[in-house]
Amino acid sequence: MSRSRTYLPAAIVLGLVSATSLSVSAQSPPGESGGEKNEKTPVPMNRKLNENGVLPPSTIGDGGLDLPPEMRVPEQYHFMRPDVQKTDGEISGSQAPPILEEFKLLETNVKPGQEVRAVVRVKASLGQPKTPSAYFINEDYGRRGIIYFNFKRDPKDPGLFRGLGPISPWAAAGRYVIETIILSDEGDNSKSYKAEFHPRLRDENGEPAHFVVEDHPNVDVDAPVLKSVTIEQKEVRAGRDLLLFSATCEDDRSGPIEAEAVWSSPTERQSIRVTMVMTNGQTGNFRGAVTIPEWYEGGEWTLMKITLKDNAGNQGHRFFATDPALKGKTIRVIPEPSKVDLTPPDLLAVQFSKYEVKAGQPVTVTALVSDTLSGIESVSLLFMSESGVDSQKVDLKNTFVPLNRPSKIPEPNIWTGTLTVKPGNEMGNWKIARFGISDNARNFRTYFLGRDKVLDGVYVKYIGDEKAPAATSTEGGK
Amino acid sequence: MNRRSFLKYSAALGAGSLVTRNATGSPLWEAGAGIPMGTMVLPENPGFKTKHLITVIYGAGARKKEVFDPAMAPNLAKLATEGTVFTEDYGETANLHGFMYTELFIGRDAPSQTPRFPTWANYVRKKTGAPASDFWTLQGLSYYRGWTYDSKHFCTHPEYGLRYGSTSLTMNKIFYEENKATPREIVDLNVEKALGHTEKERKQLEEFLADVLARKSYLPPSTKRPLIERDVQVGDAQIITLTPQILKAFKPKLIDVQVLALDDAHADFGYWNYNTDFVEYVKHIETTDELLGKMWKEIQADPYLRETTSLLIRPECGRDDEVNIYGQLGHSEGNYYAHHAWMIAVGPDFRKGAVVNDLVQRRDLCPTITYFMSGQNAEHSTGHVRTQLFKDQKRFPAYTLPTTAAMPDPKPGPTAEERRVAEKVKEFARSTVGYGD
Repeated sequence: MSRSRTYLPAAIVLGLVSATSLSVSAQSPPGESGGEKNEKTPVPMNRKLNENGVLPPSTIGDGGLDLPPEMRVPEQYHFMRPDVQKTDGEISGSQAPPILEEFKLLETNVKPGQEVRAVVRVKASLGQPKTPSAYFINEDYGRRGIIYFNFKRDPKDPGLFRGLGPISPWAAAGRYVIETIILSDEGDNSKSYKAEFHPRLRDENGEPAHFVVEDHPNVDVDAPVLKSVTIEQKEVRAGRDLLLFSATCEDDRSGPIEAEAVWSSPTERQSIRVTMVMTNGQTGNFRGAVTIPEWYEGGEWTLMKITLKDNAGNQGHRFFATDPALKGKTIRVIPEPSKVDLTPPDLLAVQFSKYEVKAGQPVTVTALVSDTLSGIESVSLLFMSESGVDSQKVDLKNTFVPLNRPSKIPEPNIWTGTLTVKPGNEMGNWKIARFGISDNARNFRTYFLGRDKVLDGVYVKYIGDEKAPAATSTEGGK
Repeated sequence: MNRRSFLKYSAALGAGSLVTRNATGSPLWEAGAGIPMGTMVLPENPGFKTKHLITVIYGAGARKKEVFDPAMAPNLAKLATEGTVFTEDYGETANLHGFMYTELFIGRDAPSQTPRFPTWANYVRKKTGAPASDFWTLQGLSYYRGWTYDSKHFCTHPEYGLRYGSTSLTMNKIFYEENKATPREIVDLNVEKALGHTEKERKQLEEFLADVLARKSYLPPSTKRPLIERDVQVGDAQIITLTPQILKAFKPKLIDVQVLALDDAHADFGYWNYNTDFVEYVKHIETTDELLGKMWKEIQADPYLRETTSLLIRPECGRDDEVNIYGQLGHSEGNYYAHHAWMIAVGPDFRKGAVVNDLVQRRDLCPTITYFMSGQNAEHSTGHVRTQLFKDQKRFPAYTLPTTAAMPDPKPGPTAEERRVAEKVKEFARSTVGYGD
């Protein structure tokens, strides 16, 4: 389809068709297609106008949750033009997200060191809901004052979860409002709810669910401050020498507890994270050591960042470009020219062990890969259903199964994995949407379906199973 | 107590002798004292030549190492030499686009997608009294990857609200094959009446859309790097293509352009059938660079617009330092290139060939644009005006970095009594503004 044909509302240009005659809103129930503000203007796609009398932002006005499957557009398709969006009714399997039925906080005022209790009720569209996750943020400090809730399922009620939000002894005082609660179910459907658009996360006054931490003198919301950095050598040999360096930091209250450094190569193509360890107790002095791998490039490496964390969980990132303590902190790395590996590995071929299977039956995938120097380190793929609605990531392994024949030797270029599509997932042709491969020098290459021919024509057809569960939700899905 | 809290409380208390408060706790400034913005005081009546400002939110996330690379983005690289470039444009957070976009628009921390405090367009409209058709917000999509973009053209603040909002057009709500609505119906369905367009303005909007539809001028021009034929990329290209048309037709004060498709650097997280990676990001940078180049060239070809139009380009965040093992480039906390973004400013009032390597803040954009286009302050913003931008530097005070949570402050915090008073002010503000004060 040409772009002009795709995007041109031809009827408008030609002036041939009256809007009223084509509007789907003619079948809409009274009051649902615009109300008084736009009585004469037909509303496309059965959308309800918002309180300002115009089309609502996608997924906000109706959230899709109250519509039948043949009208409900999954969130993931809302970026598309309305005329090409798919509905739940067009996709097999169960696609409706879990529904947040209730959210309640049992405490509204707490002291540092205490816990806030929460109760969540979730309705899954397929199977049982999984454990939710939620966090609250402090209104004054944003995400620097953040409290996560841990939930546990009620043993007698699979849709009911009880959560605890621990308040640290150093937590910022003030009001904490809910940021997000993320729900998912056994059908791998998930949805994040925010108080801004979902009334069940608000109280009777329309305020977002919140609690208040009482004022106290031990508030610590500041990350440690980097005071100095020392690099012990001027140069190191790749693959041989240990690069030693140290950092000193200070923290105002709870005390420094963690440090991590990131070294970056001259081209910034390679970088290395280094865990630093504190010396002599709670001193704020951290030491780091790393050997630049023999496969990596040489030249002037930069200490790009040091991340510091304190006992209260405050984390600060200190960057070379703006922190005086990191200014000019570099080291010369002497490479091993014959071993420098900047070439990613290749995928030569990939195949499935079956052409057609029933849901629940395993299929083996075998990949033939190659690398020139450092050797294959990892192989993984994303296995995806026809519409893309269901997918799973699979890590492949290189396993040697010995045989009592001298001809059977290890095959470092053969990597295999097992795929199993769950009942309730979408049936039809499943393909490899993405294939990732990396070597020991951390060079990687990613192949994409549609862009890389090596993945063309590789698929498994999944056929339905009579025992596969049907969707249970009435809010959407099938 | 950190510096940010100190300033918040100070602001809430009306710090300094210049400040008084109105009924909702908003600061009021006494006449004749200059234009205060945070700790800066700016000259009144700055007399800028710019009458029209295009602000491109080059999102969702773009690193400076790509957009300053002449091989990848020759037009932006050229623009950078023609204007002022900020190379260390810092953002405290590096994820959650919906919130970062809002923070950029309102110049303060934003735990919401819909602005609860005024955007720069809201400020400029209220302070200049200009009509609704002087303000535009364009986006390709309504919703993408969990975030809503067509709810940022107005705020819910009681002193501002929809009546000081801007004209918002969302490409995928308008330009699609099944849309049989007439231009007038498109206006009715997409432009809120409470924005306050006069009937004459609405008629102009209708005629403009009729013309765009008839000429198919919403279709992007061809580019050397072909546009990726996905709705997100097409939407970006459409808004950039429509910008000079709107500029010529309406001569508006502000056009805000929300680019979104750069997030295709890692678009498949939870996104069905939408696997994209760093390669797609680079392709879109190349295409967008060309489209922005064409847009600016078209504006520069018009003798009037050339002398009166300025352009700001900034992403809401950068992206990670390294591409992950799936070939994707995220935007995560703790990555230098994700926090340290960039900005390019070109126009008759901006310094040419200036490179500012000092740290500046994402929240500056709102007060900077407000001052630049209205000569007034953005009273609810916690950012500062980037005076490094302006020609005739002597007229302006030196920029000072606004305090944020990430920038520790040696100053002492407020007293217990000051905090009690501040809490009362905040409680009152909550009762009128809602949460997130």
